[in-house]
Amino acid sequence: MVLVVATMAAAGLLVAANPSPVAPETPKGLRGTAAREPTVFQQNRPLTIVREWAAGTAVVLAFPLPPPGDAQAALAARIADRALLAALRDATEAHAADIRLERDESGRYFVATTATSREVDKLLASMQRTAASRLPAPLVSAAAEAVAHDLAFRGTSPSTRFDAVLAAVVAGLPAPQPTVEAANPDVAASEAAVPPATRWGSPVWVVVRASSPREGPGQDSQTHPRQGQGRAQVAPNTRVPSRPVRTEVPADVVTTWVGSAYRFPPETPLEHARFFRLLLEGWIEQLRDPSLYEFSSQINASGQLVVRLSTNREEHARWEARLDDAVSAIARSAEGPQEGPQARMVAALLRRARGIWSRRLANPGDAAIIAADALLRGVAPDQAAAMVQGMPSPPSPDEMAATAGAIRLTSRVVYGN
Amino acid sequence: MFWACLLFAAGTATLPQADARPAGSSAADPLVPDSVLALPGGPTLAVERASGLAVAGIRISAPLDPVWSSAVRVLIELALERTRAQAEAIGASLWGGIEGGRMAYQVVGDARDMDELAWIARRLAALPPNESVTAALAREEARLDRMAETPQGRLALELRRRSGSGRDRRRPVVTAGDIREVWRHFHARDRLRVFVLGDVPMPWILADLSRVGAPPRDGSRTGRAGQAFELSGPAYRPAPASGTPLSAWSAAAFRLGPAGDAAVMAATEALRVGLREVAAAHGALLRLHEEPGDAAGWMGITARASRRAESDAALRAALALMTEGSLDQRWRQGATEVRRKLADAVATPESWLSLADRTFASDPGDSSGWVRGALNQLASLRREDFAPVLLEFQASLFFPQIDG
Repeated sequence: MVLVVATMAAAGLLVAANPSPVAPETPKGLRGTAAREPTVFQQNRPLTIVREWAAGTAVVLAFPLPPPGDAQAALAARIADRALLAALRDATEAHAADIRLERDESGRYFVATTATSREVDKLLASMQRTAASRLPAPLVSAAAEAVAHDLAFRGTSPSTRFDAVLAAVVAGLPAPQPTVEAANPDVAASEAAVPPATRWGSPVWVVVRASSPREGPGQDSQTHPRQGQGRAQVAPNTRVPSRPVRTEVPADVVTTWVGSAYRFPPETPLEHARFFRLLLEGWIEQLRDPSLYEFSSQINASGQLVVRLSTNREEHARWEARLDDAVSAIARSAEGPQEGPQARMVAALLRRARGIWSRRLANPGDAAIIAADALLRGVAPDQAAAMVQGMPSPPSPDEMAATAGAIRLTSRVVYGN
Repeated sequence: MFWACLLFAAGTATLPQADARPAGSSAADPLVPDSVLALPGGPTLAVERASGLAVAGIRISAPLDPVWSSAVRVLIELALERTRAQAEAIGASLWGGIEGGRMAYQVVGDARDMDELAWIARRLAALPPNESVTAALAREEARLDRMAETPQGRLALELRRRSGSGRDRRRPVVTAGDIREVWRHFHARDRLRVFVLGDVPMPWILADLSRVGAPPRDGSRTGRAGQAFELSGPAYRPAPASGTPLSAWSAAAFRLGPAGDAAVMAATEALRVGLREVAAAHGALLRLHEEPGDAAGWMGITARASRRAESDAALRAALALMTEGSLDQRWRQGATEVRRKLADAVATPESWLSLADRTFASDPGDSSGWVRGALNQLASLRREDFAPVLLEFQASLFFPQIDG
């Protein structure tokens, strides 16, 4: 059994090591259309999850994404992330830790992993000092230059354009929005130098580590039962348009990109939404043929399921229909007998999803990201911790059918010819 | 089942006839398996009881001895082909390949699917059906021909010939019967190591995994196995390159020492770091190639430039990295980088299995073994530890022709 423990475990030590960092204020509008304000953690107080067995220790620092449509903030975030990553690597050089940056549609995650639990407090303290300090000018300059090169190389690519349009449409903004190239790089670089823990709102810290034999699994800790997680919900109670918004953007390209955003009912548990995403991915995988180039999905910061696919231009309508049919088929799967082909497929894909999710939870870095993602969505710390403890329990096929029946397509973007 | 009954009766503390070496202090260290059991006639089992872990993983590996990577690659491809659908159905990760001079398969999935995982593991090490062999052989032959068309592929073939002491220059086996012989040798139970990571009872492990692979070789129970495995078939001669190459290529090949040695790992990483600097200074494309089938650590460097003089100059500068003065500047950075990579890699169950295999020590109490031992050695490296590395480099260096 995994023990999930002790939020704020190292608080006393860390406050002593790093006295009185200024409590940050969330910049105005930073969260954009995000579901809820994230749980406000006092700086330097990590959610610590202790496992009976773990071959590695992970420390995650998470920030929310900049608001959709704010090109200046988006560029500053890209520069700041790159500079902060370099600064964190410099600051933690003595700890034999590997640090990487992951970004998705819910947040920005700096993940440090190390093979030892012994130095985790020192590693955490080094990372916290760096996040609370002004980023060194040479690192910011180097990051700004690297981002400029990246934009020159990739900024005008069709997939980047598609992503910008999709993000704007999903956020309810008039498309197209200015992309990051439109932002002033000098202003962005000066914004990026501001201490990250101040500029980007209260950082979320999560630690996943093994219990030490000296400490024992139960000391200064409490067990968080998994049943608590049902209360963590995915989506805010926002208005759903009566008809999905369809946006077609003509472009002289040989590939067609299709993005679809689905709104979950507000009471949907976050874990159901995650399993539904995996279920839908599995369903589409079964239908895959060479005309489907890419398929991916994420649950964004505002709790919408965003599905992206790219096809050759003759086939996009067929794949749109297949996606819609997949959602309908999952919704209908509970209607017939349990031995029916659709019910069997949902049950089989749920088992596949369970395996995939278990493998993510077994990785301390991924588990810490999952917990941090939940905290950024406003989930309570004990619920966030419970989500990554022990064996995941997938929803039942009936619950998945109910979720599929209740989600609503809110927008669709077709980019291409 | 025999072993399961035995253990139920006797408890895991006593393992009659099996060489059981529970790790002393390793029970609390996730980087050292809890126990290693050498069963009579094989396989050797290394078990890490990971309480509360949501997944379980199994890895099966065998030495490439003799090195005949083409034939083994065919076996691995067939094994993955016949198990992919089962692994996909339960969301398990499946891998097969050659690492550190060993062929290996591994599967990791939800711990509640342990029966299916064991079944997949047994199928991975099972004899492939005849009907799928012919196509796999044709694919491997086409792959070798494609490799021979590029300078970098030719270097890889040359490294393979060297690491195989001349034997791997043969074409892959040509009949299903040959495949059967290769399977019987490479998958003989007494040559196999089986790693199990997860909250899995030992009786279950013995019942499900003690009879994987092919029957043990004659004499393996008495420690007298080991008849040489003879390879047959015509020598593989890649067709000479045709046409005029667009770039000039220069290459060097060498050994630094055993692939799992801490000093070799640090020197390799230092070389990798140095190559980036040399490439930037010379405007050439420099690449480091490692031959995974060879535990002795053959590797090569290719330099590509628009003219021969430039590619030669870049290669000379690259080789100058393996001098005492240059290594002095970089080995600490190399050791730190390797430690970081190991520390990051070991956190996932898949990588734990891979690293446990690469750092295997028959005695779990061996402080120089396992991932913990590798990390400790990397942390305590001294300058003089690199002297054998440089000697090995100088003694083995040669310059293959790779641009046709």
